[in-house]
Amino acid sequence: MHASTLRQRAVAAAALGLALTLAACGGSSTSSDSSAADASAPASAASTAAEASPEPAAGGPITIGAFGFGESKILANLYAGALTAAGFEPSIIELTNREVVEPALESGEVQVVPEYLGTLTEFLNVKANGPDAAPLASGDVEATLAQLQTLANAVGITVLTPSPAADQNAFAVTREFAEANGLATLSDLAGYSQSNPVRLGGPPECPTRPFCQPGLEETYGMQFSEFTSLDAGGPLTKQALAQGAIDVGLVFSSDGGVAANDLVVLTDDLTLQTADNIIAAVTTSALTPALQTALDAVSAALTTEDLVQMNKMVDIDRADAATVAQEWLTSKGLVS
Amino acid sequence: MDAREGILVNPLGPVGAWFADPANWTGTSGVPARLVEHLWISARALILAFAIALPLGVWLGHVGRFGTLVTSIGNLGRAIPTFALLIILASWEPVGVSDLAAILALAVFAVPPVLTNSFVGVRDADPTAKESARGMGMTGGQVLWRVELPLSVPIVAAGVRTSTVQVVATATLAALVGGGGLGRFVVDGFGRQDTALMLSGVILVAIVCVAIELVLAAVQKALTPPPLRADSVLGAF
Repeated sequence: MHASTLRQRAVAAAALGLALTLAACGGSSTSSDSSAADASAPASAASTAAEASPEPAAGGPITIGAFGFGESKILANLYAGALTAAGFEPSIIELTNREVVEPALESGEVQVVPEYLGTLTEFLNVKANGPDAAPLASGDVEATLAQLQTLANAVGITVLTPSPAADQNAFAVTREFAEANGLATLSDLAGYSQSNPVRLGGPPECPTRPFCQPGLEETYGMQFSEFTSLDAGGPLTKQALAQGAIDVGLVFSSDGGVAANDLVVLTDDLTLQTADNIIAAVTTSALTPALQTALDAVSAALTTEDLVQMNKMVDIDRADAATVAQEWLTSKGLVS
Repeated sequence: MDAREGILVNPLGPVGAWFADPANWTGTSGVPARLVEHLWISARALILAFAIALPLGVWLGHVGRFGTLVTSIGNLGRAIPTFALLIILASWEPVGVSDLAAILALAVFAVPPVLTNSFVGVRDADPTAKESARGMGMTGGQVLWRVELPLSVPIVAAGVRTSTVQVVATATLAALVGGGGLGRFVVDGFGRQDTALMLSGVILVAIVCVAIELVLAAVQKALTPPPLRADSVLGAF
Protein backbone atom coordinates (compact mmCIF):
# COMPACT_ATOMS: atom_id res chain seq x y z
CA MET A 1 0.00 0.00 0.00
CA HIS A 2 0.94 3.64 -0.28
CA ALA A 3 3.78 4.62 2.05
CA SER A 4 1.91 7.71 3.25
CA THR A 5 -1.24 5.70 3.97
CA LEU A 6 0.80 3.24 5.95
CA ARG A 7 2.39 6.09 7.90
CA GLN A 8 -1.00 7.66 8.58
CA ARG A 9 -2.32 4.40 9.91
CA ALA A 10 0.73 3.91 12.10
CA VAL A 11 0.32 7.37 13.56
CA ALA A 12 -3.38 6.78 14.18
CA ALA A 13 -2.68 3.47 15.86
CA ALA A 14 -0.02 5.00 18.07
CA ALA A 15 -2.31 7.87 19.05
CA LEU A 16 -5.09 5.44 19.92
CA GLY A 17 -2.74 3.33 21.95
CA LEU A 18 -1.45 6.37 23.81
CA ALA A 19 -4.98 7.56 24.54
CA LEU A 20 -6.01 4.17 25.89
CA THR A 21 -2.92 3.95 28.07
CA LEU A 22 -3.52 7.40 29.52
CA ALA A 23 -7.17 6.57 30.19
CA ALA A 24 -6.23 3.39 32.01
CA CYS A 25 -3.67 5.18 34.18
CA GLY A 26 -5.95 8.13 34.92
CA GLY A 27 -8.90 6.08 36.14
CA SER A 28 -7.47 4.72 39.37
CA SER A 29 -10.19 2.84 41.19
CA THR A 30 -11.72 4.53 44.21
CA SER A 31 -12.84 2.57 47.18
CA SER A 32 -16.46 3.39 46.47
CA ASP A 33 -18.11 0.11 45.49
CA SER A 34 -21.58 0.00 44.11
CA SER A 35 -23.98 0.78 46.87
CA ALA A 36 -26.66 0.74 44.25
CA ALA A 37 -28.28 3.95 45.36
CA ASP A 38 -25.43 6.42 44.98
CA ALA A 39 -26.26 9.35 42.76
CA SER A 40 -23.34 10.14 40.51
CA ALA A 41 -22.51 13.55 41.94
CA PRO A 42 -22.35 12.71 45.63
CA ALA A 43 -20.50 9.47 44.87
CA SER A 44 -17.22 11.32 44.75
CA ALA A 45 -17.90 12.81 48.16
CA ALA A 46 -18.68 9.35 49.52
CA SER A 47 -15.56 7.80 48.07
CA THR A 48 -13.44 10.61 49.45
CA ALA A 49 -14.95 10.10 52.86
CA ALA A 50 -14.56 6.33 52.65
CA GLU A 51 -10.97 6.62 51.57
CA ALA A 52 -10.20 8.94 54.49
CA SER A 53 -8.72 7.19 57.50
CA PRO A 54 -11.29 5.25 59.54
CA GLU A 55 -10.84 7.68 62.44
CA PRO A 56 -11.02 11.14 60.89
CA ALA A 57 -8.98 13.82 62.55
CA ALA A 58 -11.08 16.27 64.56
CA GLY A 59 -12.76 18.47 61.99
CA GLY A 60 -12.33 16.16 59.02
CA PRO A 61 -14.81 15.39 56.24
CA ILE A 62 -18.03 13.72 57.33
CA THR A 63 -20.65 12.22 55.04
CA ILE A 64 -24.24 12.48 56.23
CA GLY A 65 -26.77 10.13 54.68
CA ALA A 66 -30.39 11.21 54.30
CA PHE A 67 -33.50 9.23 53.41
CA GLY A 68 -35.61 10.09 50.42
CA PHE A 69 -38.12 12.36 52.07
CA GLY A 70 -38.16 16.04 52.99
CA GLU A 71 -37.80 15.76 56.76
CA SER A 72 -34.70 13.62 56.48
CA LYS A 73 -33.05 16.22 54.30
CA ILE A 74 -33.90 18.90 56.85
CA LEU A 75 -32.40 16.82 59.65
CA ALA A 76 -29.30 16.11 57.58
CA ASN A 77 -28.91 19.84 57.02
CA LEU A 78 -29.30 20.49 60.75
CA TYR A 79 -26.49 18.06 61.45
CA ALA A 80 -24.39 19.54 58.65
CA GLY A 81 -24.81 23.07 59.98
CA ALA A 82 -23.87 22.06 63.51
CA LEU A 83 -20.88 20.06 62.30
CA THR A 84 -19.65 22.93 60.17
CA ALA A 85 -19.77 25.18 63.21
CA ALA A 86 -17.78 22.54 65.11
CA GLY A 87 -15.05 22.59 62.50
CA PHE A 88 -15.99 19.57 60.37
CA GLU A 89 -16.50 19.45 56.61
CA PRO A 90 -19.82 17.73 56.24
CA SER A 91 -21.39 16.67 52.96
CA ILE A 92 -24.87 15.24 52.48
CA ILE A 93 -25.84 12.30 50.31
CA GLU A 94 -29.55 11.93 49.64
CA LEU A 95 -30.35 8.27 49.30
CA THR A 96 -33.67 6.45 49.40
CA ASN A 97 -34.65 4.22 52.30
CA ARG A 98 -33.17 2.34 55.21
CA GLU A 99 -32.53 -0.78 53.16
CA VAL A 100 -30.01 1.27 51.22
CA VAL A 101 -28.74 3.64 53.92
CA GLU A 102 -28.11 1.25 56.81
CA PRO A 103 -25.59 -0.99 55.03
CA ALA A 104 -23.78 2.16 53.94
CA LEU A 105 -23.72 3.33 57.55
CA GLU A 106 -22.32 -0.01 58.74
CA SER A 107 -19.55 0.06 56.19
CA GLY A 108 -18.69 3.71 56.79
CA GLU A 109 -19.60 4.93 53.32
CA VAL A 110 -21.83 7.35 55.17
CA GLN A 111 -20.88 8.15 58.75
CA VAL A 112 -23.90 9.91 60.19
CA VAL A 113 -27.60 9.31 59.59
CA PRO A 114 -30.56 11.01 61.30
CA GLU A 115 -32.52 7.92 62.31
CA TYR A 116 -35.74 7.01 64.07
CA LEU A 117 -35.46 5.14 67.35
CA GLY A 118 -38.20 2.50 67.13
CA THR A 119 -38.05 1.77 63.42
CA LEU A 120 -34.27 1.41 63.41
CA THR A 121 -34.46 -0.95 66.37
CA GLU A 122 -36.88 -3.26 64.57
CA PHE A 123 -34.94 -3.02 61.34
CA LEU A 124 -31.74 -4.18 63.04
CA ASN A 125 -33.71 -6.72 65.06
CA VAL A 126 -35.10 -8.39 61.94
CA LYS A 127 -31.75 -8.19 60.21
CA ALA A 128 -30.03 -9.91 63.13
CA ASN A 129 -32.72 -12.31 64.28
CA GLY A 130 -34.79 -13.08 61.21
CA PRO A 131 -38.22 -11.94 59.97
CA ASP A 132 -40.13 -13.63 62.80
CA ALA A 133 -38.11 -12.08 65.62
CA ALA A 134 -40.11 -10.85 68.60
CA PRO A 135 -40.37 -7.05 68.52
CA LEU A 136 -37.87 -5.22 70.71
CA ALA A 137 -39.13 -1.68 70.10
CA SER A 138 -42.04 -0.24 72.02
CA GLY A 139 -43.54 3.04 73.08
CA ASP A 140 -41.03 3.22 75.94
CA VAL A 141 -38.10 5.38 74.85
CA GLU A 142 -35.62 4.18 77.48
CA ALA A 143 -36.30 0.49 76.98
CA THR A 144 -36.19 0.77 73.21
CA LEU A 145 -32.95 2.73 73.40
CA ALA A 146 -31.30 0.01 75.48
CA GLN A 147 -32.30 -2.62 72.90
CA LEU A 148 -31.12 -0.43 70.05
CA GLN A 149 -27.73 0.20 71.59
CA THR A 150 -27.05 -3.52 71.85
CA LEU A 151 -28.18 -4.20 68.29
CA ALA A 152 -26.34 -1.23 66.85
CA ASN A 153 -23.04 -1.81 68.61
CA ALA A 154 -23.02 -5.34 67.25
CA VAL A 155 -22.84 -4.00 63.70
CA GLY A 156 -20.45 -1.12 64.26
CA ILE A 157 -22.99 1.66 64.72
CA THR A 158 -23.26 3.92 67.74
CA VAL A 159 -26.50 5.71 68.47
CA LEU A 160 -26.43 8.95 70.42
CA THR A 161 -28.99 10.46 72.77
CA PRO A 162 -32.51 10.46 71.32
CA SER A 163 -34.22 13.77 70.77
CA PRO A 164 -37.56 14.70 72.31
CA ALA A 165 -38.76 15.25 68.74
CA ALA A 166 -40.46 12.26 67.20
CA ASP A 167 -41.94 11.32 63.86
CA GLN A 168 -43.56 8.02 63.10
CA ASN A 169 -45.49 6.44 60.27
CA ALA A 170 -49.02 7.70 60.06
CA PHE A 171 -51.84 6.75 57.78
CA ALA A 172 -54.06 9.36 56.22
CA VAL A 173 -57.28 9.40 54.27
CA THR A 174 -59.01 12.31 52.60
CA ARG A 175 -61.30 14.42 54.78
CA GLU A 176 -64.25 13.43 52.59
CA PHE A 177 -63.55 9.73 52.99
CA ALA A 178 -63.21 10.08 56.77
CA GLU A 179 -66.42 12.04 57.14
CA ALA A 180 -68.40 9.86 54.75
CA ASN A 181 -67.49 6.71 56.67
CA GLY A 182 -67.11 8.04 60.17
CA LEU A 183 -63.42 7.28 60.47
CA ALA A 184 -61.25 8.74 63.21
CA THR A 185 -58.97 5.88 64.16
CA LEU A 186 -57.21 3.04 62.35
CA SER A 187 -59.56 0.62 64.12
CA ASP A 188 -62.45 2.41 62.46
CA LEU A 189 -60.76 1.96 59.09
CA ALA A 190 -60.09 -1.69 59.83
CA GLY A 191 -63.77 -2.19 60.61
CA TYR A 192 -64.75 -0.45 57.39
CA SER A 193 -62.27 -2.53 55.42
CA GLN A 194 -63.85 -5.81 56.45
CA SER A 195 -66.60 -5.35 53.91
CA ASN A 196 -64.82 -2.83 51.70
CA PRO A 197 -61.14 -3.73 51.32
CA VAL A 198 -59.21 -0.52 50.98
CA ARG A 199 -56.40 0.46 48.63
CA LEU A 200 -53.13 1.28 50.35
CA GLY A 201 -50.42 3.54 48.98
CA GLY A 202 -46.89 3.84 50.30
CA PRO A 203 -43.20 3.41 49.47
CA PRO A 204 -42.08 0.18 47.74
CA GLU A 205 -40.81 -1.35 50.98
CA CYS A 206 -44.17 -0.93 52.74
CA PRO A 207 -45.39 -4.49 52.09
CA THR A 208 -42.34 -5.85 53.89
CA ARG A 209 -42.04 -3.39 56.78
CA PRO A 210 -43.52 -4.41 60.15
CA PHE A 211 -44.90 -0.92 60.86
CA CYS A 212 -46.46 -0.59 57.45
CA GLN A 213 -48.70 -3.01 55.60
CA PRO A 214 -47.97 -6.20 57.58
CA GLY A 215 -48.45 -4.33 60.85
CA LEU A 216 -51.81 -2.92 59.78
CA GLU A 217 -52.95 -6.36 58.67
CA GLU A 218 -51.82 -8.18 61.80
CA THR A 219 -52.44 -5.62 64.55
CA TYR A 220 -55.63 -4.12 63.14
CA GLY A 221 -56.84 -6.94 60.92
CA MET A 222 -57.13 -4.47 58.09
CA GLN A 223 -58.15 -5.80 54.68
CA PHE A 224 -56.40 -4.38 51.66
CA SER A 225 -57.53 -4.90 48.09
CA GLU A 226 -54.31 -3.62 46.59
CA PHE A 227 -51.08 -1.82 47.30
CA THR A 228 -49.75 0.96 45.08
CA SER A 229 -46.07 1.76 45.29
CA LEU A 230 -45.51 5.50 45.46
CA ASP A 231 -43.24 7.55 47.68
CA ALA A 232 -42.83 7.80 51.44
CA GLY A 233 -45.35 10.43 52.41
CA GLY A 234 -44.38 12.57 49.47
CA PRO A 235 -46.25 14.47 46.76
CA LEU A 236 -47.16 11.36 44.76
CA THR A 237 -48.88 9.78 47.75
CA LYS A 238 -50.84 12.94 48.49
CA GLN A 239 -51.74 13.31 44.83
CA ALA A 240 -52.94 9.72 44.72
CA LEU A 241 -55.12 10.30 47.80
CA ALA A 242 -56.53 13.52 46.41
CA GLN A 243 -57.53 11.97 43.11
CA GLY A 244 -58.88 8.81 44.66
CA ALA A 245 -56.32 6.41 43.25
CA ILE A 246 -55.75 5.07 46.78
CA ASP A 247 -57.93 5.13 49.90
CA VAL A 248 -55.27 5.31 52.59
CA GLY A 249 -51.69 6.43 52.24
CA LEU A 250 -48.56 6.48 54.35
CA VAL A 251 -47.60 9.92 55.60
CA PHE A 252 -45.52 11.03 58.55
CA SER A 253 -46.80 12.30 61.88
CA SER A 254 -44.67 15.43 61.62
CA ASP A 255 -45.81 16.13 58.07
CA GLY A 256 -46.47 19.83 57.67
CA GLY A 257 -48.88 19.46 54.78
CA VAL A 258 -51.53 17.08 56.00
CA ALA A 259 -54.17 19.64 56.89
CA ALA A 260 -53.28 21.82 53.92
CA ASN A 261 -54.00 18.92 51.56
CA ASP A 262 -57.40 18.21 53.10
CA LEU A 263 -56.21 14.96 54.61
CA VAL A 264 -56.96 13.43 57.98
CA VAL A 265 -54.48 11.29 59.89
CA LEU A 266 -56.21 8.33 61.54
CA THR A 267 -55.23 7.80 65.16
CA ASP A 268 -53.02 4.81 65.91
CA ASP A 269 -55.27 3.63 68.76
CA LEU A 270 -53.66 0.20 69.10
CA THR A 271 -50.16 1.74 69.13
CA LEU A 272 -48.75 -0.12 66.19
CA GLN A 273 -46.10 2.55 65.80
CA THR A 274 -43.28 2.73 68.32
CA ALA A 275 -41.39 5.58 69.93
CA ASP A 276 -39.79 7.02 66.83
CA ASN A 277 -37.70 9.76 68.35
CA ILE A 278 -35.08 11.32 66.14
CA ILE A 279 -31.72 9.80 66.99
CA ALA A 280 -28.32 10.26 65.41
CA ALA A 281 -26.71 7.03 64.23
CA VAL A 282 -22.97 7.22 63.69
CA THR A 283 -20.48 4.71 62.34
CA THR A 284 -18.57 3.73 65.48
CA SER A 285 -15.16 4.13 63.89
CA ALA A 286 -16.00 7.69 62.85
CA LEU A 287 -17.27 8.82 66.25
CA THR A 288 -15.27 11.46 68.11
CA PRO A 289 -16.20 13.52 71.19
CA ALA A 290 -16.45 16.67 69.09
CA LEU A 291 -18.84 14.96 66.68
CA GLN A 292 -20.96 13.65 69.53
CA THR A 293 -21.17 17.02 71.26
CA ALA A 294 -22.27 18.78 68.10
CA LEU A 295 -24.95 16.22 67.24
CA ASP A 296 -26.22 15.89 70.82
CA ALA A 297 -26.75 19.64 70.96
CA VAL A 298 -29.00 19.49 67.90
CA SER A 299 -30.98 16.52 69.23
CA ALA A 300 -31.52 18.08 72.64
CA ALA A 301 -32.85 21.35 71.23
CA LEU A 302 -35.19 19.82 68.63
CA THR A 303 -38.90 19.41 69.33
CA THR A 304 -41.71 17.85 67.32
CA GLU A 305 -43.30 21.28 66.85
CA ASP A 306 -40.04 22.53 65.36
CA LEU A 307 -40.06 19.59 62.95
CA VAL A 308 -43.65 20.20 61.88
CA GLN A 309 -42.86 23.86 61.34
CA MET A 310 -39.74 23.17 59.30
CA ASN A 311 -41.50 20.47 57.27
CA LYS A 312 -44.26 22.90 56.46
CA MET A 313 -41.79 25.55 55.33
CA VAL A 314 -40.07 23.12 52.99
CA ASP A 315 -43.05 21.10 51.71
CA ILE A 316 -45.71 23.80 51.50
CA ASP A 317 -43.87 27.09 51.33
CA ARG A 318 -41.16 25.61 49.12
CA ALA A 319 -38.31 26.99 51.20
CA ASP A 320 -34.85 25.50 50.76
CA ALA A 321 -34.06 22.79 53.33
CA ALA A 322 -30.54 24.07 53.96
CA THR A 323 -31.79 27.61 54.55
CA VAL A 324 -34.55 26.48 56.88
CA ALA A 325 -32.09 24.34 58.83
CA GLN A 326 -29.61 27.18 59.15
CA GLU A 327 -32.31 29.55 60.44
CA TRP A 328 -33.33 27.06 63.10
CA LEU A 329 -29.73 26.51 64.20
CA THR A 330 -29.19 30.25 64.44
CA SER A 331 -32.41 30.76 66.39
CA LYS A 332 -31.29 28.15 68.92
CA GLY A 333 -27.84 29.65 69.26
CA LEU A 334 -26.15 26.50 67.96
CA VAL A 335 -24.36 28.40 65.25
CA SER A 336 -23.39 32.03 65.24
CA MET B 1 -24.47 -13.11 53.98
CA ASP B 2 -26.91 -10.64 52.59
CA ALA B 3 -28.32 -10.71 49.09
CA ARG B 4 -25.77 -8.20 47.79
CA GLU B 5 -22.76 -10.33 48.65
CA GLY B 6 -24.52 -13.40 47.30
CA ILE B 7 -24.94 -11.75 43.91
CA LEU B 8 -21.28 -10.95 43.66
CA VAL B 9 -20.29 -14.50 44.45
CA ASN B 10 -22.93 -16.41 42.51
CA PRO B 11 -24.78 -14.11 40.14
CA LEU B 12 -27.22 -16.64 38.79
CA GLY B 13 -28.07 -18.34 42.06
CA PRO B 14 -30.68 -16.07 43.62
CA VAL B 15 -31.89 -14.89 40.21
CA GLY B 16 -32.23 -18.45 38.95
CA ALA B 17 -34.14 -19.28 42.12
CA TRP B 18 -36.46 -16.35 41.53
CA PHE B 19 -37.26 -17.50 37.99
CA ALA B 20 -37.73 -21.08 39.13
CA ASP B 21 -40.23 -20.12 41.85
CA PRO B 22 -43.74 -20.75 40.49
CA ALA B 23 -45.19 -18.12 42.82
CA ASN B 24 -43.51 -15.47 40.69
CA TRP B 25 -45.36 -16.64 37.61
CA THR B 26 -48.91 -16.47 38.97
CA GLY B 27 -51.25 -13.84 40.25
CA THR B 28 -51.55 -10.10 39.74
CA SER B 29 -47.90 -9.47 40.49
CA GLY B 30 -46.52 -12.46 38.60
CA VAL B 31 -44.48 -12.23 35.43
CA PRO B 32 -47.32 -12.82 32.92
CA ALA B 33 -49.58 -10.20 34.49
CA ARG B 34 -46.79 -7.64 34.69
CA LEU B 35 -45.77 -8.42 31.11
CA VAL B 36 -49.29 -7.76 29.86
CA GLU B 37 -49.46 -4.49 31.81
CA HIS B 38 -46.09 -3.48 30.42
CA LEU B 39 -46.98 -4.21 26.82
CA TRP B 40 -50.38 -2.53 27.16
CA ILE B 41 -48.84 0.70 28.48
CA SER B 42 -46.24 0.58 25.70
CA ALA B 43 -48.86 -0.14 23.04
CA ARG B 44 -51.05 2.79 24.00
CA ALA B 45 -48.08 5.15 24.07
CA LEU B 46 -46.88 3.93 20.68
CA ILE B 47 -50.31 4.13 19.07
CA LEU B 48 -50.64 7.72 20.27
CA ALA B 49 -47.16 8.61 19.04
CA PHE B 50 -47.59 6.93 15.66
CA ALA B 51 -51.00 8.53 15.15
CA ILE B 52 -49.32 11.92 15.52
CA ALA B 53 -45.88 11.39 14.03
CA LEU B 54 -46.50 9.13 11.03
CA PRO B 55 -49.11 11.22 9.18
CA LEU B 56 -47.32 14.45 10.06
CA GLY B 57 -43.88 13.22 8.99
CA VAL B 58 -45.16 11.62 5.80
CA TRP B 59 -47.12 14.68 4.77
CA LEU B 60 -44.25 17.08 5.49
CA GLY B 61 -41.90 14.80 3.59
CA HIS B 62 -44.29 14.70 0.67
CA VAL B 63 -44.50 18.47 0.41
CA GLY B 64 -40.81 18.61 1.15
CA ARG B 65 -41.00 21.59 3.45
CA PHE B 66 -40.31 22.44 7.10
CA GLY B 67 -37.30 20.18 7.20
CA THR B 68 -35.58 22.34 9.78
CA LEU B 69 -38.67 22.33 11.96
CA VAL B 70 -38.90 18.56 11.87
CA THR B 71 -35.23 18.15 12.73
CA SER B 72 -35.56 20.63 15.58
CA ILE B 73 -38.59 18.89 17.01
CA GLY B 74 -36.75 15.63 16.73
CA ASN B 75 -33.70 16.91 18.57
CA LEU B 76 -35.64 18.75 21.24
CA GLY B 77 -37.91 15.78 21.78
CA ARG B 78 -34.96 13.53 22.35
CA ALA B 79 -33.56 15.98 24.89
CA ILE B 80 -36.66 15.88 27.08
CA PRO B 81 -35.97 13.63 30.08
CA THR B 82 -38.83 11.14 30.12
CA PHE B 83 -38.46 10.52 33.85
CA ALA B 84 -38.89 14.19 34.70
CA LEU B 85 -41.87 14.52 32.39
CA LEU B 86 -43.43 11.47 34.00
CA ILE B 87 -43.13 12.87 37.52
CA ILE B 88 -44.48 16.26 36.42
CA LEU B 89 -47.50 14.64 34.80
CA ALA B 90 -48.12 12.38 37.77
CA SER B 91 -48.03 15.33 40.15
CA TRP B 92 -50.41 17.35 37.97
CA GLU B 93 -54.00 16.92 38.96
CA PRO B 94 -55.66 16.43 35.55
CA VAL B 95 -53.41 13.46 34.87
CA GLY B 96 -52.28 12.33 38.30
CA VAL B 97 -51.01 8.99 39.46
CA SER B 98 -52.22 6.71 36.69
CA ASP B 99 -51.19 4.86 33.57
CA LEU B 100 -52.00 8.01 31.62
CA ALA B 101 -48.95 9.80 33.03
CA ALA B 102 -46.69 7.05 31.73
CA ILE B 103 -48.50 6.81 28.41
CA LEU B 104 -48.20 10.54 27.72
CA ALA B 105 -44.55 10.72 28.78
CA LEU B 106 -43.68 7.69 26.65
CA ALA B 107 -45.61 9.03 23.68
CA VAL B 108 -43.58 12.25 23.80
CA PHE B 109 -40.48 10.09 23.96
CA ALA B 110 -41.60 7.99 20.97
CA VAL B 111 -42.46 10.81 18.58
CA PRO B 112 -39.00 12.10 17.52
CA PRO B 113 -37.56 8.97 15.84
CA VAL B 114 -40.80 8.26 13.98
CA LEU B 115 -41.35 11.87 12.91
CA THR B 116 -37.80 12.35 11.69
CA ASN B 117 -37.62 9.03 9.87
CA SER B 118 -40.97 9.28 8.15
CA PHE B 119 -40.12 12.80 7.01
CA VAL B 120 -36.71 11.79 5.68
CA GLY B 121 -37.98 8.50 4.24
CA VAL B 122 -40.64 10.16 2.13
CA ARG B 123 -38.68 13.26 1.19
CA ASP B 124 -35.59 11.32 0.18
CA ALA B 125 -37.40 8.59 -1.71
CA ASP B 126 -35.67 8.11 -5.05
CA PRO B 127 -36.20 11.45 -6.87
CA THR B 128 -35.99 9.76 -10.27
CA ALA B 129 -38.90 7.54 -9.39
CA LYS B 130 -40.91 10.54 -8.18
CA GLU B 131 -40.20 12.48 -11.35
CA SER B 132 -41.11 9.54 -13.52
CA ALA B 133 -44.36 9.14 -11.64
CA ARG B 134 -45.28 12.77 -12.16
CA GLY B 135 -44.20 12.47 -15.74
CA MET B 136 -46.64 9.59 -16.16
CA GLY B 137 -49.41 11.90 -14.98
CA MET B 138 -49.91 10.65 -11.46
CA THR B 139 -51.52 13.07 -9.05
CA GLY B 140 -49.75 14.12 -5.88
CA GLY B 141 -51.75 11.62 -3.86
CA GLN B 142 -50.94 8.81 -6.23
CA VAL B 143 -47.25 9.68 -6.12
CA LEU B 144 -47.41 9.51 -2.36
CA TRP B 145 -49.25 6.23 -2.10
CA ARG B 146 -47.76 4.34 -4.99
CA VAL B 147 -44.20 5.63 -5.10
CA GLU B 148 -43.05 7.58 -2.07
CA LEU B 149 -44.50 5.43 0.70
CA PRO B 150 -43.34 2.08 -0.64
CA LEU B 151 -39.87 3.48 -1.25
CA SER B 152 -39.77 4.99 2.23
CA VAL B 153 -40.59 1.76 4.04
CA PRO B 154 -37.02 0.88 5.10
CA ILE B 155 -36.37 4.24 6.72
CA VAL B 156 -39.83 4.64 8.22
CA ALA B 157 -39.66 1.10 9.54
CA ALA B 158 -36.29 1.82 11.15
CA GLY B 159 -37.87 4.75 12.96
CA VAL B 160 -40.81 2.64 14.08
CA ARG B 161 -38.54 -0.11 15.34
CA THR B 162 -36.26 2.28 17.22
CA SER B 163 -39.23 3.97 18.78
CA THR B 164 -40.92 0.72 19.76
CA VAL B 165 -37.91 -0.84 21.41
CA GLN B 166 -37.10 2.40 23.22
CA VAL B 167 -40.63 2.71 24.54
CA VAL B 168 -40.80 -0.90 25.70
CA ALA B 169 -37.49 -0.48 27.50
CA THR B 170 -38.50 2.85 29.05
CA ALA B 171 -41.98 1.72 30.09
CA THR B 172 -40.22 0.43 33.18
CA LEU B 173 -40.50 4.01 34.45
CA ALA B 174 -44.25 3.61 34.89
CA ALA B 175 -43.50 1.70 38.08
CA LEU B 176 -42.03 4.83 39.64
CA VAL B 177 -45.46 6.42 39.84
CA GLY B 178 -47.35 3.44 41.12
CA GLY B 179 -47.89 1.90 37.70
CA GLY B 180 -47.50 -1.74 36.76
CA GLY B 181 -45.38 -3.48 34.20
CA LEU B 182 -42.02 -5.16 34.41
CA GLY B 183 -40.54 -2.05 36.01
CA ARG B 184 -42.42 -3.06 39.14
CA PHE B 185 -39.81 -5.77 39.79
CA VAL B 186 -36.97 -3.32 39.39
CA VAL B 187 -38.46 -0.58 41.56
CA ASP B 188 -39.75 -2.85 44.31
CA GLY B 189 -36.50 -4.81 44.26
CA PHE B 190 -34.60 -1.59 44.75
CA GLY B 191 -36.91 -0.36 47.50
CA ARG B 192 -36.51 -3.60 49.42
CA GLN B 193 -32.87 -4.06 48.46
CA ASP B 194 -33.88 -7.41 46.99
CA THR B 195 -31.15 -7.73 44.37
CA ALA B 196 -32.52 -10.96 42.92
CA LEU B 197 -35.87 -9.30 42.28
CA MET B 198 -34.23 -6.28 40.67
CA LEU B 199 -31.97 -8.33 38.41
CA SER B 200 -34.83 -10.60 37.40
CA GLY B 201 -36.83 -7.56 36.34
CA VAL B 202 -33.92 -6.19 34.35
CA ILE B 203 -33.37 -9.50 32.60
CA LEU B 204 -37.06 -9.77 31.74
CA VAL B 205 -37.14 -6.29 30.22
CA ALA B 206 -34.03 -7.05 28.18
CA ILE B 207 -35.50 -10.30 26.87
CA VAL B 208 -38.78 -8.61 25.93
CA CYS B 209 -36.95 -5.80 24.09
CA VAL B 210 -34.82 -8.22 22.10
CA ALA B 211 -37.86 -10.34 21.25
CA ILE B 212 -39.78 -7.30 20.03
CA GLU B 213 -36.85 -6.16 17.94
CA LEU B 214 -36.70 -9.58 16.24
CA VAL B 215 -40.45 -9.62 15.59
CA LEU B 216 -40.37 -6.13 14.12
CA ALA B 217 -37.41 -7.02 11.92
CA ALA B 218 -39.43 -9.88 10.48
CA VAL B 219 -42.47 -7.64 9.97
CA GLN B 220 -40.33 -5.03 8.27
CA LYS B 221 -38.93 -7.59 5.89
CA ALA B 222 -42.43 -8.77 5.03
CA LEU B 223 -43.65 -5.25 4.37
CA THR B 224 -40.69 -4.10 2.31
CA PRO B 225 -41.25 -4.31 -1.44
CA PRO B 226 -39.04 -7.17 -2.66
CA PRO B 227 -36.66 -5.03 -4.72
CA LEU B 228 -35.81 -3.01 -1.62
CA ARG B 229 -35.13 -5.83 0.76
CA ALA B 230 -31.76 -6.13 2.43
CA ASP B 231 -30.89 -9.19 0.41
CA SER B 232 -31.47 -7.30 -2.81
CA VAL B 233 -28.91 -5.12 -4.43
CA LEU B 234 -30.79 -1.91 -3.65
CA GLY B 235 -31.71 -2.59 -0.04
CA ALA B 236 -29.30 -1.11 2.48
CA PHE B 237 -31.07 -1.51 5.82
